[in-house]
Amino acid sequence: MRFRAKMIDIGCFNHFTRVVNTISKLTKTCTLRLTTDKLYFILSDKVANGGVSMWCELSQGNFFDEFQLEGVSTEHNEIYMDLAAENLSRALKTAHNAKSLKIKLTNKHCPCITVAVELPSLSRVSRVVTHDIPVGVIPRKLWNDFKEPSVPDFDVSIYLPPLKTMKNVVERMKNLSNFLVLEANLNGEMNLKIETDLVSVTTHFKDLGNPSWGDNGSQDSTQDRDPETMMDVKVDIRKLLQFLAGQQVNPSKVICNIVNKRIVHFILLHEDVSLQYFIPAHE
Amino acid sequence: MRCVVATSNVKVLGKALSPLCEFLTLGLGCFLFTPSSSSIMTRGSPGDLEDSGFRCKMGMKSVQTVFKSLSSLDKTVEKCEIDLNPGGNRLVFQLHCKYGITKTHNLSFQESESLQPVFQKDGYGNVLRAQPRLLADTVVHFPPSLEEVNVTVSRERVQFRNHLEDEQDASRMMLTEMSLDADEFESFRVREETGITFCLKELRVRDPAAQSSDIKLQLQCNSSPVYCPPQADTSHDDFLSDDMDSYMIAMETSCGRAEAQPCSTGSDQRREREPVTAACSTRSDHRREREPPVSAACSTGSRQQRGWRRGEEEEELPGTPPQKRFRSLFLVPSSPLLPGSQSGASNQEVLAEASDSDRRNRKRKQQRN
Repeated sequence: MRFRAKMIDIGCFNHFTRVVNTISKLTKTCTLRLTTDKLYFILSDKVANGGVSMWCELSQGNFFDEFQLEGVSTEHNEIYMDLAAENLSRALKTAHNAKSLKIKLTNKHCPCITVAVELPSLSRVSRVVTHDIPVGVIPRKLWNDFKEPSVPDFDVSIYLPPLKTMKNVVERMKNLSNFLVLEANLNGEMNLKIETDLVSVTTHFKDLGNPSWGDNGSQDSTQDRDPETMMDVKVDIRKLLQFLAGQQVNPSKVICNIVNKRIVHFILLHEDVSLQYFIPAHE
Repeated sequence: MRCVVATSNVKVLGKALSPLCEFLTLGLGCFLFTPSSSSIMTRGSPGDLEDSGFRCKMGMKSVQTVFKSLSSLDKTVEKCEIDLNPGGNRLVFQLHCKYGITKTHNLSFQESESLQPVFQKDGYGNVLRAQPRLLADTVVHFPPSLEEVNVTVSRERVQFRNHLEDEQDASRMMLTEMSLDADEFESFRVREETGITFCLKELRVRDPAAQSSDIKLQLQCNSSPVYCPPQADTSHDDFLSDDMDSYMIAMETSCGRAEAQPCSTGSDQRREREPVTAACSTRSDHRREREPPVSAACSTGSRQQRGWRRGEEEEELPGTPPQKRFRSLFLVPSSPLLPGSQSGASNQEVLAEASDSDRRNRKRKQQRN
C-alpha cells in the first residue's frame, strides 16, 4: 500500500483545512477512505455514536497537485484507515502560509499518515514541520461496514434556514431541553420545538423552499399529500447542535430530509465537497 | 514598601504572570519588564532591598485572579499598587480603575528563601541567538499541552521533537518534528552536536515576555543547563537590563560523561548592571523517583526597587499556599552521539544545585512516594 499526495495552492490548503476542521468537530475518530479519485471521511452508525453517521466526500483533483495511490490490491485499489480527525486538524492548523503540503502513508513506529509542511523561512532553506499521525489500517473484510448510506425514503425534503441562525436558536433551546422536535412540510415551512413540563418553545421558519428530486420515487408518494402536513422527528439536541456548530464550510444550501419519526438527513454541498449527516430519532 | 505599576504595564505584568509555574515568588516584583522608569515607582527607604531581600511566595491562582481578563485590565485599570499591609501578613494588590472603582485583593503569602542555581554561565560550547519570533513560530506547531521537547543541535540545524515518556505509547500519539536551519539564527555557534530535552512550557512562558519586551533569545547549551540570558538592547534605559532575568532551564543528565560544572557559590549578590540569573525549575509529577535538583526562585533585583521590608512573621501563616510542590523540569537529554535517542532514567547527575539545598522538601517528596 502506498499513498503520496502534494498540495501547493494556498486556497486549497485553507479549503481542505476547513473541511477537516468540520469533520473534527463532528466526530473524534473517523474512517478515511482513499481511492484514486476521491477522499472520504466516514463515520458509520454505531451505537457508540448514538446512531449518528456521517459521509463526507471530496474529489482529490480539486485539492492535490499530485496524488498517487496503490491500494490493498489491484482490484481493490483503495485504502481504509481509522484516524483521529483532530490530529489532522492540528497538523493543518499552521499550514495556512505553507509553501507546500505533502501527505503520505508511512510506517514509522506504526502506520502513520505523515503530514509534511514546508514553510517559508528566513533563510534559503525552508522550514519543514512533520507530523506523524498514527492510523489504524482497516482490513478488506471490514470494508462493508463503511458503505455509502443511501438517501432515505424521505417524507419531506426542505432547505434549512441559514445555519448560523438555526444554530443560535438551537443553542438557546439546549438550555431548556435535551430533545428537540424538527418538523417541516412541503410548503417551505419548518418548526423547531422543545417542550418541558414548564415551558414549550417553538421557532418558526417560512419560505425556505423545497428541493425537487426529479424522478425520485419518494417524490411521487408525496404528491398526494397535503403540502401543509408537517413531518417531524425528535432528536437529541446536542447531536443537532454539534452538526450546526461545527460547520466551517459555508454551504450555499443545506438540504434536510425527514423520514417521519425515524431519521433526519442533512446534505451540505459546497463547491466540490459533499457532507451528509444522519441523526436518528430518539426513541 | 509599595510598588506602583502604571496602566500600560499592568497588562504586561498580567501577561507575564499567567503562564508561570505553580508558585510565583515575588522577589521584589517578580517579572517586571518593559517598564520605563517612570511607570514603576517604589517608595520606602532606599537601601532596604539589598539588606532585607524580602521575598515571598504566593499561589499562582490567587495572583491570576487579580490579573484575570487581560483585555479588560488594559481598558479599565489606571494604576496597580502592590503593598504590604500594616499587619505584614497580606500582600495587597490594589487596582485603581476608571470611574473611581478600586479593587483590592488581599493575598496571603509565604516568605521564602531565595534559591540560586549554582552553575557556570560561561563556557558553553553551543550558543544560539535568535529573535523571539523564531521560537514562537516553532512552538506553535506543537500541541499546547505538550510539556517537554527534545532539541537536537547540529552544525547545520536545530531540530525540535516532542518528547515521549517511556511509558507513553507512541502508536497513539501524534509526533511532531520541526527543523530550523542554522541560517535562521542571528548567531549559531555549535561546537558539539548535542541533544537535550527540556520543558517546553518554560520557553512558552519566556517567549511572550521576550516578545513584548523585544528581547532576543539566546540559548546556550552543552547538555547541561540550558541558559537563556536576555540580550537586551543596551541603548535602552539601564533599568531594563537590570530587570530582565535571565532564564535558566536546568537539566539532569543521565549520561555520566557530562563535565562537572564548576560551582560558583550561590549568593544573593546582584551587581546592578548584570541581569540576575534565576532559574525556574519545575518537575513533572511522574518523575518523582528522581532526585530533585532543587529549584530556585525566579527573582529579580533592581536598583530602583527599594523599600521592601522583611515581614515580622517567619512562621508559616495560616491559609498560605502549601509548601513548595516542586515540579522539576529536569529531563533526560539524549546522548549527543545518537541524537534523538531517549536515554533511560537511571543515573541522574544534578548539574545545578541550589545554593540552599532544601532537605525538608526532598524528605516530603520521599514520604509521598
